[in-house]
Amino acid sequence: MLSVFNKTKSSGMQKMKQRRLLFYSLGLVIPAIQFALLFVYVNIDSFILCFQKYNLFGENAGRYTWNGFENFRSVIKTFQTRPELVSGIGRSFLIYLFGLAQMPIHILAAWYSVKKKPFATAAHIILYIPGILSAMVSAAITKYFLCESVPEIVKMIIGKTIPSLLDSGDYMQTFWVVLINGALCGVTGNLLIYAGTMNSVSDSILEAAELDGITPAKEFWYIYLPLIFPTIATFFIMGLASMLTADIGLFEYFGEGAPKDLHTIGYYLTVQTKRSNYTNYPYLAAFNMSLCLITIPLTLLGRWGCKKITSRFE
Amino acid sequence: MSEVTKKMKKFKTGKDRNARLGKNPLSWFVFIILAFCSFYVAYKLIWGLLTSFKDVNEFMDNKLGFPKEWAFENYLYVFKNFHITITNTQGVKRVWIEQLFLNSLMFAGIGALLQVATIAWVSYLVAKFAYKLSNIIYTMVLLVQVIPLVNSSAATLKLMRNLGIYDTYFSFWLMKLSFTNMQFLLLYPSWRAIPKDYSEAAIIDGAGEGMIFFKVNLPMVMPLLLTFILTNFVAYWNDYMTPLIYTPSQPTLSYGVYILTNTNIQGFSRTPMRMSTSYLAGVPMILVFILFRKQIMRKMSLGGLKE
Repeated sequence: MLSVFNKTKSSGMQKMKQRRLLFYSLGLVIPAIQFALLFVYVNIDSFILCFQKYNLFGENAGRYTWNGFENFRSVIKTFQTRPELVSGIGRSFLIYLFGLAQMPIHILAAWYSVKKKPFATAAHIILYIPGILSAMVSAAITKYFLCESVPEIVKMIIGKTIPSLLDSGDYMQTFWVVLINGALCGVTGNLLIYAGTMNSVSDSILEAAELDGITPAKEFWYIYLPLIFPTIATFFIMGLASMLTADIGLFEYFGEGAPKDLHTIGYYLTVQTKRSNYTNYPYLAAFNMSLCLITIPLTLLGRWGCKKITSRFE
Repeated sequence: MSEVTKKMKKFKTGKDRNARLGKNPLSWFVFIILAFCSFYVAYKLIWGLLTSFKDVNEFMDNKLGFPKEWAFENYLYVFKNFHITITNTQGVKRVWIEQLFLNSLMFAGIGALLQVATIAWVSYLVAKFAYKLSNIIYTMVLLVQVIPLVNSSAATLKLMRNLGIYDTYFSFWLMKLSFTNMQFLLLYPSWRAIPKDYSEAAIIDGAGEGMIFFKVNLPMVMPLLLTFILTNFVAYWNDYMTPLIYTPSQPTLSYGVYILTNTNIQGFSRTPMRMSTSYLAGVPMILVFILFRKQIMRKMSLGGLKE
């Protein structure tokens, strides 16, 4: 009797396990196909495309054929014939450094919000609005504000007429104006992530520190900062990965007609991708691959450095 | 009263003191920065809004003040006349603002739902089914976040063309069926945190795996999923680049604003009209923000979500 019961029980368990496995396998079919197509295949094809060319004429018309390292030569040639891209690397690096310099302000803003200091919620809401609006809409408002309103305000205050801030012809000024505008609007950048991590400090730690007479500045330095260091490291590494292509949102402000003196690699790639067709996919793939070859070691180096620093913190 | 109790009492008021600026220079420093930035952003947005209500001629003489006569008809004009012209293989077509709005809704609404549904589903399977493949998938998602792949848009475009879905909604939706996303890593611990007891009780009551997912586990992470849906909706609504590259014949409102600010559309070349169009494109997002501010601004950490 017992053996019949055990047999029934084990066959029931077996069926349940099979049902679970079937449910699991069927559930993963569509996501797996999507991943296989849009991650695995696309990245492998990106690599293959780097060494191919598209034939418009001849017996291979409409097909991709082997092209050796020609696409990479074209990429090098692009840098030789377009000096604005070489100087663009400098501009991207400047943008990256400027972003890094803002990080302490972002962290302090998050600390201020966690501490529920006066005006924290209101400032957070006001500064969140540009992020809610499309970058295109924000850029449109900013563009006309800087060109129409600011010169008028300056005239009202000092009685002197100044040219429009964006299209005065002084490209360094345009660059810095757009960069500073981004910094002012993005002062609460990543606040939700930083504040979320800071909130995980237990009350008992804060109470103990308070009893020891800790000052707010020391509390920030010794309690909150070490806690969010892994988050800072993550953002730092993510920044490294996009350092070569960083730009000031040129496409949003100028469309495809941005002044050459402001060009960056990121902008160049955006415009090229928008105009792309079968013939220049290989060139674009080679361009992206070249960037990858520089970025991957840089990112890995950054990760290694961050790990070293984190272990020292611990 | 002992010294410790006194200090504890002081601590309670200390928490209140934390909420004030006091004599703390660090707090004052941050306060001044936030106040300045908030003023700048608020002034810019209000200036844009006021400009959008100014008559085109009035704006020439009155660039900073309130409108002397509120030109509400600017918005009516935009709604009636704003369109963009698209040239594709089928010829030239005009896309009116209603269609731009509908396209934005198709991209952002369905895209956000598809993306979150996929992430929720796969992260659930990985978190709750202890198979070897689950570990592999989890590691893979982590790796995808870390490996700095710069850009594979050329190969993606080629694939879309080969699949015959280039320039259709499907190309966008297909991209959104991806689960290798940061949100996967935020959802995973939430599924893991749900005790097995609930599922076991449901099994005893005769529930199948589907029922356990939909009726038992899903409701418990619903607030988090709602936050993801909203943030993705906002992001896709505002994304002008993907439609520009993958679906140029299905322009969205953001795409419309791009065309507006970078070309001269007849009747829309003056600043007040451009501001009206920009604000009209931003209204749906501002409404979403007003209605769901708490969900959108929820504090998140890389290890999970704060309630």
